[in-house]
Amino acid sequence: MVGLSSDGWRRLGVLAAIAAALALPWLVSNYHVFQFTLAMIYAIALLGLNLLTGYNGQISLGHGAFFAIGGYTAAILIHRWGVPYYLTIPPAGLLSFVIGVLFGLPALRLEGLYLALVTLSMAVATPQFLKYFDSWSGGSQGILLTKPAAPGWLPVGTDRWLYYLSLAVLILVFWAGRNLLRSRTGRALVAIRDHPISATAMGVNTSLYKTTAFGVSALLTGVAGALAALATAFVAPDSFSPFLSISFIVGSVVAASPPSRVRSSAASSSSSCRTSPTKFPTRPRGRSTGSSCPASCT
Amino acid sequence: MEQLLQQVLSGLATGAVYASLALALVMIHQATESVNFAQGEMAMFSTYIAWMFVQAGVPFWIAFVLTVAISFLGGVLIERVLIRPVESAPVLSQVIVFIGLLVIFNSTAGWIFTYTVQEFPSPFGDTPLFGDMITSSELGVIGVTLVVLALLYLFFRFTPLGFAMRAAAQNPESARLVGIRVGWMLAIGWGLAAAVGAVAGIMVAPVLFLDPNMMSGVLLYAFAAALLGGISSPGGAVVGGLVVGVLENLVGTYLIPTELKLTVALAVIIIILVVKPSGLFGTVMVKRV
Repeated sequence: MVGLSSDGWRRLGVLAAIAAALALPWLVSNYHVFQFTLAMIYAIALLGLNLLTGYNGQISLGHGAFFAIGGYTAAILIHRWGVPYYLTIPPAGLLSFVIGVLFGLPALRLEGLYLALVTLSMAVATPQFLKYFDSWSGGSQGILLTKPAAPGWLPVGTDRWLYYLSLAVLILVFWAGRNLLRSRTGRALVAIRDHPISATAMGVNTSLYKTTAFGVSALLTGVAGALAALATAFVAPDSFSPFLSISFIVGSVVAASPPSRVRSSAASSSSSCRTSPTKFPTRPRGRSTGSSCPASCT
Repeated sequence: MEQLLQQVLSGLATGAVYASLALALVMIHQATESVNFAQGEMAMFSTYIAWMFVQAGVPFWIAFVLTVAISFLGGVLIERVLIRPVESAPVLSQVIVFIGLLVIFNSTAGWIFTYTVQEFPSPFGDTPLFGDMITSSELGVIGVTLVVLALLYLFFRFTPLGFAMRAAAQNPESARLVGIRVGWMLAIGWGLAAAVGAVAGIMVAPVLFLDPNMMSGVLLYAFAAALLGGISSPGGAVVGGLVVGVLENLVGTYLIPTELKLTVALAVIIIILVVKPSGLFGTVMVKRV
């Protein structure tokens, strides 16, 4: 065990955390399982928000709206068309992605404060907007669903099944998010946050990356929304009040603080990483920073 | 035609409230270049203070004056204690502080006064005037707002303190060199904004009823108003507020269902920001690279 590199220790830590997460539902009551499920779902939404606000520097105070889109997509698909619950998560994410990109287009022209203002307004307008389409959304009553049961071959109860489902999605999106942020795209996102003008000068397509960041961020939050709709078996306009969006941003500030400016600028400029800045735009995809770098680069 | 005129007049009344809150936003924006997202919640909290006084049997207008004074002090205190440390912080940190304030006020109000919707008395009664054209409360709201705006105008135009505050907002360095205490001017600006917000809250509470989430919609309209008039122009904010109020009423009556009003306001905000970010009366901001 002594011979493990820091990377190895980290992998071991991740494996231990996953093992603990797998064992957890058998150690606590059903109600706590449900709460842990919700915590993981919020973690997925926070990953989405952090990608946008933390890594790309675009402030969003309105991610509750994307959470609502995901939740309602799942609920309407199940309620109106009887789609199996597990098939509702991809369309929920996809629709959120499309709307996120569409919203990201005007956001390109808005900076800092004004983007915060627009997104906060979006959060305020969401519940009313949902109430308007009452033939689809069930109005203020919302839509009542039944909690999905585990497949027959798996001897777990509903709450535990939802827990494992959320855990699986959580691991999947964090793995994907980590790879995304380590890739050329991730470095472009951070570069745009730290210095948009130099990023443009270095050939980063700012508009493309910013709208994509908005889309991917909305996608993750939408997926979380769909999972939340399944887990609580209920969606209603008032669950998506502005305070949902605000708790997201609070969560993002408290828990998921993004790499600071100093660390990331070290990553993008240092010669100690053997990644010369001039190569930046043309580097191939994949794990280019590699494990040979000091930890401060990753 | 009569209904149209009626709608326009009552739109002016709500517009006057939006104008006050938008003016509060613009005042803080002028001094600090940031938008106070907690302005609506601060106004809501002030309204609760007024409500408390009224419940305790204090006559309405005395409660009004007391509340405005308390809000002023509260605004000054918030600037000194909470805003000052982040004065030169990045935008994201400032936004987070404002959001924190919003949450604090909202939940403190919920904690102290509960989330139950309360009725708030209107000092002007509700008698129809001029052949049912306008109610006395609507006329009262317009009147009070006009008085507040006139006072503010006179203050900033003719008093030494008002001059000093404008100087501090326009050019802090030079203002400091001629002996103006810029930090305190900002604090007084916050106090004034809080006081104006309190007036807006008290005026709108009889219509919307009082609860901790009362102001979120109003704040959205105030954003729209401030941006429409140009966030760098106090006069523009007032005009913007009145226009937004009238538009809200007309569009809500004739074009779209009530549920979509906020969505339309959101669309207006986005369109203004994308097409003409400086608003109708604002100065165009030029950023140096």
